Amino acid sequence: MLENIKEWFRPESIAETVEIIANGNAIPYAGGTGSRSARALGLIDLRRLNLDYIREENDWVAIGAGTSFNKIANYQWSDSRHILALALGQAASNPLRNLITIGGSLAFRPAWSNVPTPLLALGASVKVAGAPATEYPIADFLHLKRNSKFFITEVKVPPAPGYGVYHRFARTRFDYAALDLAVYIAIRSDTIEICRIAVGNLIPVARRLAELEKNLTGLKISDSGISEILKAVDLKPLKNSNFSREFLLNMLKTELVRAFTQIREQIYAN
Amino acid sequence: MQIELTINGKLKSLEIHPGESLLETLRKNGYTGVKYGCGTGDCGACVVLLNEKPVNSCQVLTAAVDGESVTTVEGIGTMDKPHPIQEELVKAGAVQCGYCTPGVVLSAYALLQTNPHPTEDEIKTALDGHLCRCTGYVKIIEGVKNAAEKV
Ligand SMILES: Cc1cc2nc3c(=O)[nH]c(=O)nc-3n(C[C@H](O)[C@H](O)[C@H](O)COP(=O)(O)OP(=O)(O)OC[C@H]3O[C@@H](n4cnc5c(N)ncnc54)[C@H](O)[C@@H]3O)c2cc1C
Ligand code: FES
Ligand code: FES
Repeated sequence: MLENIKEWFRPESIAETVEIIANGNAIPYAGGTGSRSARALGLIDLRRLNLDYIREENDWVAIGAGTSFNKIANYQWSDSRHILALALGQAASNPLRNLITIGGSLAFRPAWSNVPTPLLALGASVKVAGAPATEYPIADFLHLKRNSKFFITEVKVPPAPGYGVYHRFARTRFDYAALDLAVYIAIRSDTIEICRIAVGNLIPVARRLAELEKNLTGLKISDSGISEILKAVDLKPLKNSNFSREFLLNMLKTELVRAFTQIREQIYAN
Repeated sequence: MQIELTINGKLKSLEIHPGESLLETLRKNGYTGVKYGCGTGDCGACVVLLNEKPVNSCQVLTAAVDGESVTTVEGIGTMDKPHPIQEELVKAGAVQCGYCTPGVVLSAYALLQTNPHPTEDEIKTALDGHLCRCTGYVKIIEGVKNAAEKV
């Protein structure tokens, strides 16, 4: 029982929602799985806003903020955007995946969230209503202050005709991941033209590994030096009660090499 | 606040606190097949079907599901007329203390409604939110597989 909750708001439009957020002590209620600790006095029910959709547009796929993990995981993705499905289909558990939403996850952004990493590798953006209404590249969005008075309405994911891989490392199937990794590569005549590598869970805010990306772009995908470049990755993992920092960094190196092996397999299979 | 909920096919008008969980609402209205385990979304004992999909009722606030439809284990089978999933779980030795069983039955029911011939991996994914401290899962999976032949 959340004793502090005194009121429910059921807005019929995004404008009305933004106004309620701006006015007082009420916060949005999406999947509800992260709202437990909220000290708000009121909750804003988003279900009437029709934000539960996946829409194919010409230049992107639009995912409504109220779309559940399972809906995204079960969608028939026609290109490497399927790494988002892989990520969300492994997160939490089946009954939770029916509740957790992509918008609530981006607003809440726990370190263990599996939403940011694939979105970084896919070059997604996040649409926010409110003052000012705007669209953020995902990397910028992840640095906005949590609990800001904004309202996420949609995530936009551009086409991903290249090759994608997503890996999630956890002790058991239903456990918070200690690390997740997403790689997206586009190649032309065997040469890496676009390289996006994103990591999450083992650092406070998921991010791309810009240095690695730079060193890999322009190389032949078959280049035997790629593994050495990947193993040179360096970052300081978060303290974790189950794994040492050294183990996590080594695991990241191993997962990176595995990801590239998998990408080569995808390329050679075509 | 006043809400309406269809529980096991019957429309109910209920008085609830705005911060009350669906687990609390269901249990206090007599649906004690819904079990309280952890209260944090980790164990699956409280799983019910919300609009035919399994959800952890401890993670849902009742006010949010005003006007929607909930199925508890009481709506699946009775002592006199158990559902084939319940029968097969018993036959397979998948029920010991039984605390996890209502949630498991509902997740298996939802799976077989949409996928009547699931692979073992699909069964494992459908049941990945249920902790069973007694049986070790092998018997549960066997029971669901056998039920798939019958349903
Ligand atoms: C046991 C358990 C295990 C989990 N494991 C994982 C995991 O492995 N991987 C993973 O990715 N996630 C996992 N999660 C989910 C994660 O911890 C959060 O609970 C979830 O991301 C919150 O999403 P929600 O839709 O439930 O949001 P809510 O709980 O509804 O909202 C969370 C916060 O975001 C705000 N909010 C919601 N929607 C919006 C919006 N559109 N605009 C602005 N603000 C908004 C709310 O006001 C609230 O402050 C797990 C959750 C549980 C309970
Ligand atoms: S009581 Fe709800 S998941 Fe444990
Ligand atoms: S039978 Fe006892 S917890 Fe599953």
